[in-house]
Amino acid sequence: MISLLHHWLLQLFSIFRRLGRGQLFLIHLLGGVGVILLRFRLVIQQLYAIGVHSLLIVIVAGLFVGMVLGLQGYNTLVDFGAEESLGVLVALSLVRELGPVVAALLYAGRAGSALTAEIGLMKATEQLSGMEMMAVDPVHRIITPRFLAGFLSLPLLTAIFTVLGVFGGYFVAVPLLGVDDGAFWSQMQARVDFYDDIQSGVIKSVVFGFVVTWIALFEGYDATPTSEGVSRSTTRTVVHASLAVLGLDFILTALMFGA
Amino acid sequence: MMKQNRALEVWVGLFVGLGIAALVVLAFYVGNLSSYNSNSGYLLEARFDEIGGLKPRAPVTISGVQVGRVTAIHLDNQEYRAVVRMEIDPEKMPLQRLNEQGEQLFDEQGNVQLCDKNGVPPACSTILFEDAAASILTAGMLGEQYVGLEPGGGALAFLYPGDEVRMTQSSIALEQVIGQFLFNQTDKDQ
Repeated sequence: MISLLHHWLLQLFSIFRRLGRGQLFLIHLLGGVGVILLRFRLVIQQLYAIGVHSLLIVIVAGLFVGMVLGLQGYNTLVDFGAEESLGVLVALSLVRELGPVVAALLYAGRAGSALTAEIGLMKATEQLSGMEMMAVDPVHRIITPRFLAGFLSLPLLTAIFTVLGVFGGYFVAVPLLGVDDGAFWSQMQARVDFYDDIQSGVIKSVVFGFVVTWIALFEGYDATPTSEGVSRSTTRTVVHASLAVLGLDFILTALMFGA
Repeated sequence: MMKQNRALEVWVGLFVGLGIAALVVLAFYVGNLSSYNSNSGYLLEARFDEIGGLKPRAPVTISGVQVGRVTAIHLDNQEYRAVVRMEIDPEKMPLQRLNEQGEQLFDEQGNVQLCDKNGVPPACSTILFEDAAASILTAGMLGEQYVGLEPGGGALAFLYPGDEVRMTQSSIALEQVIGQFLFNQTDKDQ
């Protein structure tokens, strides 16, 4: 009994310790931003690895999510004779929720896991300690450019996802289901507010980009330097980042649209 | 190596460009940023006994044509009436030029002479008459509420930017209509 309690306390202790390490890691990597901005080429390389390589999945997913929204929304709205509002439904759900959240989940799966595995492997093969040996700060040299690139990529990926989703909904609604073209766009433009809706969506995607990239990089940096440890860290990245996105989404939605 | 670098830069440029283009499409085609032209309009005010569900940013229309938006609603704490402030877009409802007697001026074709959008009273007035009316209407059965302006015509003088539209028709609440109907019914029965 005592030993069980002891075990739990130790576990709680290690959770808090990890949280603390995560914060210190964040401060450490943000300290390198100034230096890295002078060597922006490093960020561009990472933008390619993180952003460009995530484009395909985001484009395909955006189109299909929009098309499904169009189909499902039509079936419900047509019962009320309100199929003209399909544009509003598709655009609002994408701009406010689905765009930021689904893009962040895809990003965590596609780019976040890759970041963790890459850095975990660098640690396991002692490339990071090698750098330290040469008096190069591995956090500033390796982590910070990846963080900046991820932080910049996700809002852009989210915008692309959302726009393609709206067009996907349009392709289903107008040519396929015969919703009026003009009503689709005009109702959408009348009801989607730039400040209330689009700005909130962009703020969400910025927050998600920050958090997901942070989690992915920290998991990699903190991985046990064995093949098993790297694999476990990669799994943890996807699980924790997805849960963080969903939880934060609720909090941000409550702040922006609640009350 | 050099060639690879160039391809990488092109791809990153394409990605960032695509992302920014998507943000622009969101702002102007999906959203309504294009309808925000900041502080270019002139103000009108109206006091209502009951505004129902009218909200800031609701459209202001004349004969169904949108000419502006509601910018603010507050309570007049002396009269206990709702003060609705509206911003009218001078591109959609222009200001007209007046002479010293406050009469309209006409050009050779017989059209009313217009002011540019920075025109100020007393040389420029709105094209609404002083007995213009504002009412709170509902789009469809369950739609959103908006302000409908009627230009008036019985008066000779015109409303100036910043003036108050005096004739108002409050929003009609369904409960009141039903209540009145029942009240009349019972009156008739007795």
